[in-house]
This record gives sequence, C-alpha cells and structure tokens, in this order.
Amino acid sequence: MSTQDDVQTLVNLLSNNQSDTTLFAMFYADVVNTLGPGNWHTTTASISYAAGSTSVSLPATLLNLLFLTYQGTVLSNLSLRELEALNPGWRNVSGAPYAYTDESSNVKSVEVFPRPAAASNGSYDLAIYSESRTDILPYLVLPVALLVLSRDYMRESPYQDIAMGMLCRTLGNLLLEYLADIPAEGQTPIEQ
Amino acid sequence: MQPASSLATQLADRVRDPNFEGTSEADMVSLLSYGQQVVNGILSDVTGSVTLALIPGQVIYQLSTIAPGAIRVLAVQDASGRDLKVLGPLESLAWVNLTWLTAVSDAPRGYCMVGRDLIVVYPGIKVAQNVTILYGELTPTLVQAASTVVPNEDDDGIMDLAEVLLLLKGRDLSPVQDAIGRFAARIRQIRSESR
Repeated sequence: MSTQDDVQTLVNLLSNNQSDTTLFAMFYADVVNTLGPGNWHTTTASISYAAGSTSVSLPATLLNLLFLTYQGTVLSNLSLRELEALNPGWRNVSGAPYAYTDESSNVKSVEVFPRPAAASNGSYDLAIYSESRTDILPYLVLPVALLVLSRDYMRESPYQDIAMGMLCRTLGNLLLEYLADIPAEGQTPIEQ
Repeated sequence: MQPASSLATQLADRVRDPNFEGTSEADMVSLLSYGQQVVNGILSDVTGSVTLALIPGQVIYQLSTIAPGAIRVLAVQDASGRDLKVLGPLESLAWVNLTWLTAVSDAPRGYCMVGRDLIVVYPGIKVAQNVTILYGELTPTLVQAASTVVPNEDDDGIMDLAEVLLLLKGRDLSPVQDAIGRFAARIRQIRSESR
C-alpha cells in the first residue's frame, strides 16, 4: 500500500468517512507541493546543457531548486540584474557556465551564464532539488493527513467546520516543525 | 514499552469512550501507531543502522533508497567505527570548494544532509569502501497484540498525541488546543530529561 493510500485511509478515519473522496487527490497534491520549501523530498536528476543555448530545462516534478552543477562545478545563483551588470550582452557570451539565473524563465527552466560552448549531459551535470512525489516519506503520513483534512473542512461544503480545519492545520504544521528539526552539531534543536 | 491494547484502554478512558463505541479499539491502536512513528521521528530513541557501500567518485546518495525506514540520520561511521564529522549546510561546502561534487580522497571525512532525503558523504573515495549510517528509525506498525517499541517515557507523548487525534475525530474541539499544548510540553519535557 502506498503512502498516498495510507494518507487517504487516515483522512477517512479522522473524518469519520465524512471527507470528500473525490477531492482527496487535489488536496493531497496541494499539500505535497507546500512541502517543497521544507526540502523534504530531495533528489537529483541529470541535466542536459545544449551547446550555444543559455536555457536549461529542469525536471517537471521540481518544487525547489537547491543546486545546479555543470561538469561537477556548482553554479552560482545570480539575479538578472547582477548578470546584466556583469555583461549587458551576457546571453551572447560562450564558455563553461559558472552561474545561472531563475528570474528570466518560467519555473521549470533557468538560464546559465556563459552559454555552454559544448553540449554536456554527464553524470556530474546535476540538478539537486526538492520534488513533488506521489508517495511521500512514510513518517509524513500523519501531518499530511491533518493538512488534507484542514483543506477539506475549511472549504464551503455541507460539513464545513472552520474551527476543525484550523486545529488540524495547527497540529499538522506543529508536527512538521518538530520532524523538520535538524540538530546542529552537538546540539538538539529544542535545546537551542 | 507498553502493550497496545493497554494503551488503547487508557486512551479510551481519557476521551470518555471506555467501551470503544465512538472509535474501535483497532482504530485507536492505528492512531497510536502513527503517534509512535511521529514521536520517535522527533526523539529518535529507536534507532537502526545500515551499511552504505560507497561508490568511487560519488558523493550524493538517496537516503530513502539506502534505508527506507530512516527518519533522521544521527551519525555516519567509517569502516573503523569512527564518526565522520557533521558538515554544515551544503552551501558552506560550496563556499569552500565549488567542485565538491567531484572531490575524491582516500577516505571520507564528513557528511551532511541535503534536505531530508539526500546524504552527501564528502569527499568521494577512490576505492570502494563501506560506511555505517545510524538513524532514527520508522517504528513498525503497531497492532493490538503488540507493544510499543519506544522507551516508557515516550509512551506518554504517544498517548498525548493520540488523545489530540481522538478529540479531533470526535469533534470535541474545545479541549483540543489545550491538548496540543500538553503534547508540546510533554515533548519538551522528554527531551530535556534525557538528552
């Protein structure tokens, strides 16, 4: 049984089978997408750099890009203004990319600088990112179920219950905060 | 470590449902099971380990593939049993070495997490060798015939969390905020006592 099924089972249990099963998939996907900034589901994917093109396509499941590498070198994330200050004609400069900007393209692509002189698609051309997954990490089942319930009870419906929705959201977010604490070296987060 | 059925009985008394009429005993045990997984995810009292075979030239590994039951990496030990140093955020590694992805050495010196599902063992190695990853473990699904696997003091946290869930389930909302506060206080108390 997948963790998505576990979440649905738990949602049905906590809602006494009142929750709308037809909307579950939408609420679930929405909650999983909000996990992006928390970098729960991190992964890597190979990236293709086309010769002579600044544009680089990113994986479709990407939520939050953490690092981009070109032949093993980590690219710096620059703003569009910084690139333009470096060189107003930055898109026409060729070489080995060492920077990228995510401000000039849609969310699933970036532009690199300089544009690659040669194509590259090796094992060290990577995007490191947090992704949207259908099957979440198993220990997130309870907090995700609470956040799904929150959405279901907050929407307009015959069983709308704003207070219930807010309490589910409060508890779900609290559990995520507790689970997210990553201790600094030699310390536990709650003692800091 | 207490029997699940005993915890369910105590829980039913707490929410004034001693005959399991609002929620069956099996469902209460299911909520206790999720509670145990989350509480151990926070406290990491139940741990596990896995051997990771390092691949020459590779520094990034997918944690959920290596150890599907890992919640939180506690330590990484080399073949001699020595703990690798915990590196700071990966950004700090990039400040030191922009080519950390391809760095190699005779032995790894440190590790860091990238988010919650990628582990970087730095630098990469030239010859295959093993490291041991110690982690806070996802506790097994609790069933009525089983007992919790966390220390006794953690059972109180599990009960508090399960009580909140049952209050939500029963739409008894007025005490929920206080119950959440009790759960948070319990977690702080448990952490301050023993770690």
